Amino acid sequence: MSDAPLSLFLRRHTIGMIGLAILVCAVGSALLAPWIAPYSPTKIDLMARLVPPFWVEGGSFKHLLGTDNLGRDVLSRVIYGAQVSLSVGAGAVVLGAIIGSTVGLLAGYFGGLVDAALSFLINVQLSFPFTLLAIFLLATFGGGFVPVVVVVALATWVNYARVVRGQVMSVKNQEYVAAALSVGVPTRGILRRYILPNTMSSIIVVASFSMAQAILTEAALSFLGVGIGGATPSWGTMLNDGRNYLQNAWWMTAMPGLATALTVLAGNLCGDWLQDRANPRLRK
Amino acid sequence: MSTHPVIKAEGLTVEFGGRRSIFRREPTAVVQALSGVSVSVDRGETVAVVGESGCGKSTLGRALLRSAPITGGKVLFQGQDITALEGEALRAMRRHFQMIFQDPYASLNPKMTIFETLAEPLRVHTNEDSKAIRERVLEMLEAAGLDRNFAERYPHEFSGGQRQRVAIARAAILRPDFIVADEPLSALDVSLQLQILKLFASLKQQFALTYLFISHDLARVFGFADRIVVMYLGKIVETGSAREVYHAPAHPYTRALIAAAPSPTSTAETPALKGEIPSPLNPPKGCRFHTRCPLAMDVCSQVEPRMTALGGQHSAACHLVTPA
Amino acid sequence: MSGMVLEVEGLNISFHGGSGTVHAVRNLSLSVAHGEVVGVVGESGSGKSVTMMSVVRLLDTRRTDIRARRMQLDGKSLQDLRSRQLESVRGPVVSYIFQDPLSALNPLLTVGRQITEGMRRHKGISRSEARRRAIDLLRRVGIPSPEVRINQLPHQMSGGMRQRVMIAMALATDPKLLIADEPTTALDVTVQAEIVRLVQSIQSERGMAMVWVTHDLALLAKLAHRVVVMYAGRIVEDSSAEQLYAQPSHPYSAGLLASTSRIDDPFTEQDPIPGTPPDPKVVSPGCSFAPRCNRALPRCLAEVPELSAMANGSRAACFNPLTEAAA
Repeated sequence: MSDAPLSLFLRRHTIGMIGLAILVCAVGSALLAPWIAPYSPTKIDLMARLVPPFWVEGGSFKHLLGTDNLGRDVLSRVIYGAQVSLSVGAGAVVLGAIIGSTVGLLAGYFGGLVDAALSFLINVQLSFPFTLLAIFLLATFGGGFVPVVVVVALATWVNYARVVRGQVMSVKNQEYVAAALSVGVPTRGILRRYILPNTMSSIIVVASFSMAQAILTEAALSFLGVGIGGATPSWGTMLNDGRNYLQNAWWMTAMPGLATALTVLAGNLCGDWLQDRANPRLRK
Repeated sequence: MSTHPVIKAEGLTVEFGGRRSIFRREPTAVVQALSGVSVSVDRGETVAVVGESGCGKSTLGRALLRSAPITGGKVLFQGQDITALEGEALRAMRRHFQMIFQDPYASLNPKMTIFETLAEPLRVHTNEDSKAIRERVLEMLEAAGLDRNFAERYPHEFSGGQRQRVAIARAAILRPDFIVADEPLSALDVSLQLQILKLFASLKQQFALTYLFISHDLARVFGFADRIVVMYLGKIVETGSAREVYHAPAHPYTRALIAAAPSPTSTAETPALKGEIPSPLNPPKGCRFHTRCPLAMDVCSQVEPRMTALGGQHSAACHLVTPA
Repeated sequence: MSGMVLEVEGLNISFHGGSGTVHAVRNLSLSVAHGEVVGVVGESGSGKSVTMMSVVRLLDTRRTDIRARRMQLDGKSLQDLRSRQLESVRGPVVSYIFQDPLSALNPLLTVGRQITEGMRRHKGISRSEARRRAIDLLRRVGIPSPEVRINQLPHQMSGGMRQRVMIAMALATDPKLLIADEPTTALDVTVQAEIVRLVQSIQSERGMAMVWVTHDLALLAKLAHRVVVMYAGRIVEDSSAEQLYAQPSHPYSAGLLASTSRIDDPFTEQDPIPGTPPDPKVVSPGCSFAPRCNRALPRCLAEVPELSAMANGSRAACFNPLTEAAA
């Protein structure tokens, strides 16, 4: 029995599979960190400060990606950093999706004043410089996991709202919705069984792009010093720490930067792939 | 036992457009989809509404189900005036009248299984438990000519003909008092059209249903319907039993429709209708058909003809017909 | 130089999709003589439109596999033609009318522009001369005030008028063969009757050959000399129109005729053909219609019947036809 169908699948969906593979690695690192990280991310070893990665002169296999200014193993910190970045990303995506989709659903389905009010809200948010707001909020209320997740969710909910609103407006006019209305299905039933399931594919596409945006935003906030804080590093704090050592210890910034870039890329690739998957079926 | 017709429209008028918006100075153009239409359907009857584009037949079907905005006139369900019914009261009323749509590829929710689609009317309008609902859904599937095992599948796994069977089953599952079928055959292949028509007939017998059957295919409905209603540009021009209308069409438009229908054996030259169907935005004065009528007289462009009884169930709105 | 304006022999068309290969047309042979009107009737999945589109090379060759022993238009082989040479065939030899005039007409060009474009390209006449002829054509197809209409855009016209414009465009290059693919399906019945009458008069006036593709058997009665019935990618019956309506040979033709809505006989009980058309991805060893046929013999499930002569002059692909086979 040939494995033709599988290889055909992989060939056709290469882009998406690459993205998915990277994401799996990232999630895997986050979940298996205690077992795969060679060192504790906070273990300070002042005897091994600023050791370069193993392929550079002066490096060793003891610290594959080198160490930072406090002798902490960069590889371990990147692996553990995945935990923070991905959990903030996931939390923000879920929260943002819930807020944004609800707003989009209500605006799209009810139209009229509700739509006018909610669209106004969306436009206000869009025209406001988010970074400023984020810094202000976090500086006022302090850092920490929950505030950061909330702030990042606030950055991304608008994407969902706009897409869902448009999608709902088109679904609303489909004949199966008219059929459900003529059957006598009440409004909450229409929203729950007819509108929402048919906008799910758009929500998932936005979610994968948002995931990437969330991780980047968290990195930026940590870089600016208003991030999670605490002992466990995030890729953003690592970028921040490495700022002053760009000249002599480029790996302190490059490694978390690479991890961030790859994960964001993976998110976008998956998003693209899902988007392509969603459309041809509709066209059929 | 009610002696009222199941559904009745009295002087029904439906207009679209004409909404004023704060951003426009003049109101948008008003289209009169239905203009003073009166029709009734008795229990157990199959009434066919025929006509070409813009005649208002679809709008009539929807207005009778309170799915189109009514600008004037009344709709009576079993004698009860439901014209102004709204909100929860209207929603609850819907168990009594259902609709079957034209496009089988669009009228089923792609995210719901066939079972869920058929169970929906029962869940919304009855208090039956899941076991009873399951029974009724499977029974209905069989009655509609579908395999019971199809219940867990999704619409995209089925052909157009099968999907239409599901749509019909959905409309009939509550045993409603009245079903409006809006061009249910038009999107199907010829051989399937006849199959589905047979299904309509068998369900009608099995569940004692009453239909308003909207179609543009005159030939099909003659053999299927008890009564025919012919519409043109928002008005009824002729009505009567199928045989009355077929054997003695009184209105020139009805005659033109019959003559235009393709027929393998007739050799008669089809009389040409002048011009095109006028825009519903600006219907002709007097008799709306006069601009295309080969028999138009002066009075036709000035006075609107009234429905004249021609004996039996037959009547037509034309200045040329003489009452029985 | 053959006397046929269209000759197709052994045509096979298949599409390669994600879920399998669709065999749309199987071993089809069809010929149309000069001045002949042939009706091609079939339901969805019969391959009727695909066959005609392949004649004018309208199919996307990247995903379509088209093979034929012979495909000739007016004696010249179509198969070795390159795209540029194809242009000299489309227009002067063959013209195509589509089902939906709204999507087939360019919404941004005036009607006049679209008609004169083909004309000028193939005949090399001046702009004013082309315009004059276009106005004549519009008048001929029954469009009132053609001098005004010629400057209008498609969306400014009704469906029936747009279809008339399409006919005018198709006639502008004086083709020897006109292929009409369901041209009246989207029109009201009274408009359809007008268009049919118009096309008939033009056809007899110009002696043009015509292929009219439709799903409506009744429509072809007054229009076609010959009718070809297609089922699951094959021709199952090829007969004169009169013969087909009076005495169909193939059980599918009879079933289709019995299912067609007949204004001349609406009250007679009709019996539908049971079952559904076959999956075009599946290649069955025998006759594709056998599973639904009440005259099926064991042989029908094992062998594919070829078109063979019937005693009444028609041809049918059937091992147990309704009429007697030719001796």
